[in-house]
Amino acid sequence: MDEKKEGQENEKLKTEKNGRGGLWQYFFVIHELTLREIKRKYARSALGILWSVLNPLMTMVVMSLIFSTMFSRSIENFPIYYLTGQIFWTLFSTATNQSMTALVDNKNLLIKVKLPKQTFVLSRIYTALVNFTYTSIAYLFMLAVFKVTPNVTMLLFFVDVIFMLIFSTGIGYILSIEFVFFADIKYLYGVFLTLLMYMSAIFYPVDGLSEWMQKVISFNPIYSMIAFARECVMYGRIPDESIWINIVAWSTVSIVSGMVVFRLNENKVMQKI
Amino acid sequence: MKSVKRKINVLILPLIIVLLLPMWVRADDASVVLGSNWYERKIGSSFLVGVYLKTPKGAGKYTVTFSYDTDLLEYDSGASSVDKKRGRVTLSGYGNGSKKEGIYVRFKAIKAGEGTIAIESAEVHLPAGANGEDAGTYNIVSLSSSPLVIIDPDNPPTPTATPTPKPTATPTATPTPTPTATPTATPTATPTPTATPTPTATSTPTPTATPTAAPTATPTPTPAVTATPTATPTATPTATSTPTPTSAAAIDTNIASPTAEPSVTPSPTPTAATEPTEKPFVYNIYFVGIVGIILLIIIGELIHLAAKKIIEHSTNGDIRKLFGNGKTDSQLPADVNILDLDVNSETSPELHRMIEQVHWEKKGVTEPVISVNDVTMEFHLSSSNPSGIKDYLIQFLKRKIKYRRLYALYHVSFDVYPGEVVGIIGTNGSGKSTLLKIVSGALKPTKGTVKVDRKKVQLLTLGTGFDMELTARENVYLNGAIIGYSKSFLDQHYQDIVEFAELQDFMEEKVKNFSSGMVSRLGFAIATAGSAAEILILDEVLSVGDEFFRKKSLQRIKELIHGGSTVLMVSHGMGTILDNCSKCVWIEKGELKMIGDPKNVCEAYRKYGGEGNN
Repeated sequence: MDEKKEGQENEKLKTEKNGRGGLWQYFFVIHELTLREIKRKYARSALGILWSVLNPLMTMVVMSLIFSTMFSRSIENFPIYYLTGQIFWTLFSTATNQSMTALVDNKNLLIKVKLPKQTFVLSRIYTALVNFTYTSIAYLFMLAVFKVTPNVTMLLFFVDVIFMLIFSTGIGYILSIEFVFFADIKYLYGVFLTLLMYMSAIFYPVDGLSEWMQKVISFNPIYSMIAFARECVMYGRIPDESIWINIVAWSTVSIVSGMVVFRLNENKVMQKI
Repeated sequence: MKSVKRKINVLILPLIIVLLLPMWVRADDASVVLGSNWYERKIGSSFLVGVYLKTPKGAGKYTVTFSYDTDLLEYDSGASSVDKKRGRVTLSGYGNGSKKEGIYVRFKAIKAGEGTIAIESAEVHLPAGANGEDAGTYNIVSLSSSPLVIIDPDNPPTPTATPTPKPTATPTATPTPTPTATPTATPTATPTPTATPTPTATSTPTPTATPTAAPTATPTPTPAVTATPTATPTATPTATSTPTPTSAAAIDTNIASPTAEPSVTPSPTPTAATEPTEKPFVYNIYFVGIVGIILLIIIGELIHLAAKKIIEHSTNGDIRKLFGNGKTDSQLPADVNILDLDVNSETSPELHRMIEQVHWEKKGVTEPVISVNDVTMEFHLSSSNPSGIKDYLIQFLKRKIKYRRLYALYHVSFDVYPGEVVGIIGTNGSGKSTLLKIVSGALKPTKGTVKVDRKKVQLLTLGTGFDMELTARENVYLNGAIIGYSKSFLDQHYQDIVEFAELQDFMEEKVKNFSSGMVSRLGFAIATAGSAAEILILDEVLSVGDEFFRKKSLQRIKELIHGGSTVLMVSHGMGTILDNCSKCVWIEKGELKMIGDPKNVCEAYRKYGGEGNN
């Protein structure tokens, strides 16, 4: 009898918990999944998550060694210029690359989950964000080393990150669905990422390019977000409206089309997996 | 097919946006830039600084102010007004309608050092209308500044220093005449005026004749320039030699000649000559780039589409094929008689359903907890599994890719009433697990509906969803979260789970080191932690672990059942079904063969199995 009572109480507790915290449960699942991703990623390395800090710093040193003299005339403070571009690029490329395989990797869990299947994609995006946060420590450190004066506009950096996340989420949704049906997308996307990277002016000044190319690059969403960050962090300016329009428009288009594609194909994915 | 198209549309949408975006450039933006992004001159030399007004519609009235270092430079000529103390030069005038208007000012280098030349402000009007009215001003989007280095020829900098900055200059060097102005800067440049009329003549044909030569032509001025620091006194020969290979150099001699200077200020010649060289080159890149992207996407989508089409094609003509012994046609729903012949059932499933309804209504239960109505689940299976694009293409060309339609479930209907424990039996691959997935909501049926309150459903499957790289403890939390337990619930029940699974000493161990029995025990413990949901779906959870654990888990399940849950369970153990279930559903090759009392159904199933084996 006691057992039964206890059981009933437990049940009450559980339904109460679930009823109150549907959203909370959502975060809990994302949190657990993210924790897993990070633990897996650094499962065998001795330094673990520290690599998220060290990696960008090391590439920054390498790139600065090679390019800073080359661009010293047109870019003041090349290391920061590069690092700003690099961390944003990494955020985007890891977020989208990781979310691409989110559904396929978790096919065993997909049947069990009661929450929307987007959770898996979102957890990958969140993983990229966590990595980015660690990287930001390195970034902050470098800002201090290179004596970039703190400015109120730096707060806009967070706005930029949010837009980047929204944009990546939309792309991630589309890629994760596409990857289920057409695994080759992974390689196609790899090529596309390379193209996009070189068109994002991560380590070179845009002024050096032809007028036409500059125009094309200025419409690259990734470049816009990087430029946004450089404006508000390096130069202490509020980015001008064309950049704002660009990032807002791209993020909206991306997230809306991503959600639509995901919704339409959700069930087919379950059949295929 | 429709949805495929829709998806393609959605995929192509961003592409179209990407292609259209460049057109969305505001027409009224103008930029004012210096001719070179790097000035390096010798003391005593006089040289031209070019300012370009890049406008989409041509410039009308303009005023441009730029600053220079008064220590290093001395103003010579070319400006409309100059403030020598502050180092400001103002240029104003009217454009001749060219989209790239060049204005030139002459300076003299007076002292070695480093400084900058920067455009401070600029105002460019649109070309005046027919009546001479002001058509408005351009929105100036960029003002440039360039570093300036004046070197002393007596102690020249290290030779390696000079070539390094040049690469940066090269991309834009084509339109800018300034770097090549160096050789002519020496006073001995005066012999060149003879060339003044000719370069314009020779330069114009060259770009049109060799548009592809442009990229290779660009670097050529550089060696001529790099040669200058060493060959300072003999600058004249290099200057005279350059006109022939490159068009850019030819124009420069034109500008640099002192006599030509006044006529240069409006300067129609350099702009006319530089533009054609630049454009074909740029458009080639544009073309190649865009075509490349489009090709990639098209290749991907074509293959994808082709595959889809084949599915449609092959399945339309194909009769559905199912797993098993291949008696395909007998499964058609029209052949209900066959069911009656094969199985000695008292009633058909349809009739049984109706009887049941009446029976429960007498008890006062009008609504079943789970109501499966005419559910059909269709899968597309490819008979060959290409592993990549290459394989795909080969097989596609060989017409090897064939798809068939598989009905995992075919018009299945039954009801489950509160408190019932329903067992589902059937041979492997008969669609039991698919049915459970549909009921739990993980899959949506192709046709038909399932009425059930999804919030109350809990699906228990074992072994799936464990991450081998994580420890058992981490897996408890991960799996629990996915199943739907909250954090506090898991914290509270963690000890119970561990105790039930009897894995107290292994919780910090990675699951990959576990035996399969241990994994299933943990899975069972998590799945049945605390109390059960109202509707419990068990997928082969009872054939787990050693004999002792099996007894224990059976006990646990019984507890849950007696707690009032409605249970839907799949099991191959006929004993468990007979012991626990109040009703039994037999599914064979996707179809509902029989439903009713477990004893009868199991007997019929055994008989069927025996026949199959013989």
